[in-house]
Amino acid sequence: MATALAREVAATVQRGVSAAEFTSDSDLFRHEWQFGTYQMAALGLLQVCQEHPELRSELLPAVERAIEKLLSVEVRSFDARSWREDPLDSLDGPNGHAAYLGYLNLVLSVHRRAVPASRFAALNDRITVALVRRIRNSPAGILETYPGEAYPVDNAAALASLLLQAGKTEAQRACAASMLERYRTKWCDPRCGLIYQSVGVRDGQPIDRARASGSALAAYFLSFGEREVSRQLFDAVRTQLAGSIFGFGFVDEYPAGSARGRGDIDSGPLIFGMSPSGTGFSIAGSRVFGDRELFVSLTRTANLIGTPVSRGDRRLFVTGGPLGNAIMLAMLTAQPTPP
Amino acid sequence: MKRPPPSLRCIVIETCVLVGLQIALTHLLARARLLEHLLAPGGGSLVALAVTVAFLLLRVGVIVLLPGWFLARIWLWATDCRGDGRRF
Repeated sequence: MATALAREVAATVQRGVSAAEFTSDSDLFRHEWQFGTYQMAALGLLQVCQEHPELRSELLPAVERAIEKLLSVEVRSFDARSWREDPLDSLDGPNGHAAYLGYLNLVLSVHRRAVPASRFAALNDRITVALVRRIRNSPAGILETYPGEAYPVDNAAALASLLLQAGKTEAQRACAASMLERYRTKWCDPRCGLIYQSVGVRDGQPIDRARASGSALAAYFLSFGEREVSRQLFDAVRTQLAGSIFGFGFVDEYPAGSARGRGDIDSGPLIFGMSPSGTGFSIAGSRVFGDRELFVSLTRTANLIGTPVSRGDRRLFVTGGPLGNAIMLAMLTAQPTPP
Repeated sequence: MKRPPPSLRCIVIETCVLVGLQIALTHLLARARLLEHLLAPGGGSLVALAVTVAFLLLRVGVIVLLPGWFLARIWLWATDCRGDGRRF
């Protein structure tokens, strides 16, 4: 299943995805999803390469194609428009650019683990240095995603990329350690153990509630670099939010007792409080931390709603589209052993 | 007026039609992109959302509920047959 889905995702990457293919009325979301498709595709394909080394020669070209697309002016334009400066041309500057640099650098760091002589290594180092400096200079120790907006989940991708490179300098190690501490304490809701979806740029105080979609995705990202905080986040999602109906697993977006809402771009539409994004992202945590029962029940739901079909040696989710298929590949192949 | 109980052939045909419809729609919808409409509906998403919801309701019904419904109908048919001697 994973190999066939990997082939579908690799073919999508090689074909290319344009922002115009997505349906949102928001230009920002369309371009974020184009970026997200390549980012998740690269992570998922790298995980398949880790689990099936015999497929490296087949899949690594698609990984590097995805990275080239991530680095293209077209794909990084969504971040450049929000910040009014190009994220790669302004690496010496002070602005966070977590939306682009955090997610990109995670891909570059994981790729470098798979291919030590990576041609993207120099850029990976430059971005890492810039991220460390910006985190240390931030009043709340958090990178801004867009001007005035800070999300712990986006910072989790950046932090994981630092942890993968953390052996290099004392500054990187200290920066990563202090940020991990903020996930344990400041950005974590002590009542449920989940991380806040959004926090203040200046004071790091919560702006949006602790939720499944952000916590489950953060657990997945952090698992690339460490297993303690990511395990705590996954355990919080599992114990507070996971459930099952007729053997079909689901994850609620909000803890019991709090107002549900209708859902948003992060969670997807909530169905009786159940979170499509939280359910999908939790598949990764259940695989990383060996919760077979939860993995099976959530995958059952993904297969029910996602509706997989086979086409030759490929397999795709009918309701997935390029982004959904790339996300599902990354979640279904998350690795119990770090890269 | 009491409706006559369905025959075994009717039960099997109805079940096969639902399963076949679900499989046919799956392959038909494989050519469309639907998740984007679900996550962030745009101005032209109404039809896509309606089709998706209808399809997912059918799929959930076929996979989750239909097996039990089919078995229950077979059981009712079998107990009914024992009473009046009908076979098909």
